Amino acid sequence: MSTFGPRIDASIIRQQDMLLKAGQATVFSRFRQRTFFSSFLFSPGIGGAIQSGRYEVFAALKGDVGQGYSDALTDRETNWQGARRVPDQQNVLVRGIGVEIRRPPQSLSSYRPGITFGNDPSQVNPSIPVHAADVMAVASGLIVRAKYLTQDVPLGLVADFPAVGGAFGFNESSRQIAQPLVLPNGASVNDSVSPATAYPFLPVTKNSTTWAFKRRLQVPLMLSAKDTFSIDLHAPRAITLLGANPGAPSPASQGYTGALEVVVHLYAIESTANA
Amino acid sequence: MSLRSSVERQQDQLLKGQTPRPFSEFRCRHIWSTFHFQPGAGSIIAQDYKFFVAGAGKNGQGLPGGLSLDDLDTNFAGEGRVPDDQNLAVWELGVSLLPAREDVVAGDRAAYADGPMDPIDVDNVLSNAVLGVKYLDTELVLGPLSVFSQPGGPHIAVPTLLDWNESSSVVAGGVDGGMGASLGATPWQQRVARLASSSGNLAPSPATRMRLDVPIFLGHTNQFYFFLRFGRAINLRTVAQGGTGAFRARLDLWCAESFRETKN
Repeated sequence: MSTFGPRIDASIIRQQDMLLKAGQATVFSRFRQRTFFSSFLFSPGIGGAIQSGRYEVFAALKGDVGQGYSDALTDRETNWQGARRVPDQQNVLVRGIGVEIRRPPQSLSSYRPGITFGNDPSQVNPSIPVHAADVMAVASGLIVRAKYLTQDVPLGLVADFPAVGGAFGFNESSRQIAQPLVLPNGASVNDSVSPATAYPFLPVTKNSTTWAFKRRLQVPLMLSAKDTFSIDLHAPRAITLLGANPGAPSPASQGYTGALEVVVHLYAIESTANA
Repeated sequence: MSLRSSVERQQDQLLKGQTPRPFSEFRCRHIWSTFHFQPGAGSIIAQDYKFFVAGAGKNGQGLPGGLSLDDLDTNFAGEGRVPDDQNLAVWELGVSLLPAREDVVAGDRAAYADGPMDPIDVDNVLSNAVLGVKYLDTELVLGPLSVFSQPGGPHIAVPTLLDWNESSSVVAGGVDGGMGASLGATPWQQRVARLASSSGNLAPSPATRMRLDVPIFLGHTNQFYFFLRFGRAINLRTVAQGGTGAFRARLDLWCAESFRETKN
C-alpha cells in the first residue's frame, strides 16, 4: 500500500492506467505479468578485480554479443526485446526490482579471449557456485542506476534489491572435495585430489529472498513504448574477487570462481497492443 | 482500482464464456506436470523441455521408454491443450526440483542415484533455465526459473554429518572418520553430507509464495504448454562426485477453473 495519501494514490493510478491502457496512439488492451531480466558477465579471473566503471544491462538483445559475453546472448541471459529502449508494442510497469548474483556459465565460449580455466590465479572456474565472500563484495560494491529518457537515477546498492528465489544449502564438509567436473565441451577443471588442497565449504548463496519479501517500489517505474531505457551497474571503486592465499602451501585457489554474473530482474506488468 | 476491475472483467469473460451453454461452475484447481531429466554424466542439452503435453498413462516428458507417467507426475487430462469444458485462470505457478523416480534410476546405478539433488546442482539448474509458456501462437519467456519457487516440502540434512562412510568415493584414498558404514552396496551410502530442501528452491512457506497480480488466462480448447528452456548446455555432478545424475522438475499451477457439465 502507498503511504502518499488518497490524492497522490489516485494520481498514480491514473498514470498507471494511461500507461497500460492508452500508451500512445495505439490502444494497449492486453495485460500480462512477467519478470524481465538481463545479465552482465564479469570474468576478471581468480584474484582479479572488477574495474571501477559502469556496466550496462538491458542494452543487448538475444543473439547480440555484449554485456561481458563473447558469444551471442541466449534466453538465459535476457528476455528483454529492446536494446536500450522499451520495445515498440509494450508498456511496462515495474513494481519490483531484484538483482541476482549468479554462478558463471559453463559454456566456455562466453568468456573473453585469453581466459583459461582452472583453479590458479587469473583463471576462471565455471563449475562451482560463487563464493559467499564474492557475493558479499559485489552486493555491497555495485550501485543500481536506472536510466530513462534523460534521467540517470541511482536506486540503491545491489544488496538493497535481493532477487527472488534460488537454491540454498551447502555441500561437502571441509574434509571432502570434488572430483573433476566435466563441462559440456569436454573440458574439465578441479583436478585436485589431495585433502591438503581440499575445497573449503561451498555454500550456495546469492542475493536472494522469497517472492513475498522482495522490494516493491512504492511508485512503480513507468516505462512507455519506444522510450530509451537501460540499467547501469555502477562500481565506483574496483571490486577484487577472492584469490590464492599467499601463505598457503599450494598456489592453487580452491572454491573460487574468478567470475560471476549479475542479473537484474524487473518484476513487471506489461500491456501489449493488439496486432 | 480500474486495473483490477479490468483484470476481473477479463477473468469473468474467460470463466463464464460466450457460448450458449455457459461455464457456470467454478472451483479451485491445482494441476501439475513433471519432466524427467536423466543426463547422468552427460549434458542437459540447450533446448525446450515441455510440460502438460503428455497425460497419465502415457510415455513422454523425458521418461525412458517402457515407463508411463502416473498421477504423481501429472493430473492434467488435456495434452497440449485446455480440455473442451474448462477454462483456467492461473493465479500461482511454481517449479520444484525433486528426486528422480526410483524406477527411472534403478536401471543404471552407475549413472544415477536416489535422493535429493545436490544443492550445487539445484543452483546450476536454477541459474541456467528460464520458464516460459506457449499459448496459441504466442510464446513468452516468463522469467528465470529461480523466480518460480514452489513453497512447501521439508528442509533436511541428508545424510547427517555423522553418517558419511569411512571411505568416501569422492576423495582418492578415502577420508577417515565418520560413524557410518564402509563403502556400501548402494549409492546412498556413498553420499556426502548436505543440507537440502525437497523443493530445491526457496522457500518452504506458502505464505511467502508468488501470487500473480495478472493471472495467465487459458481458454477452453486452446492449445498451450509451459516449457523449461536451457539457453546453454550444462553438466551436473556425477554419482561419483556426490550428485544424482537425474531429477524431476515438477511445474504446479494453482488456478480458478470454470467448467460446465458435459451433455448427455
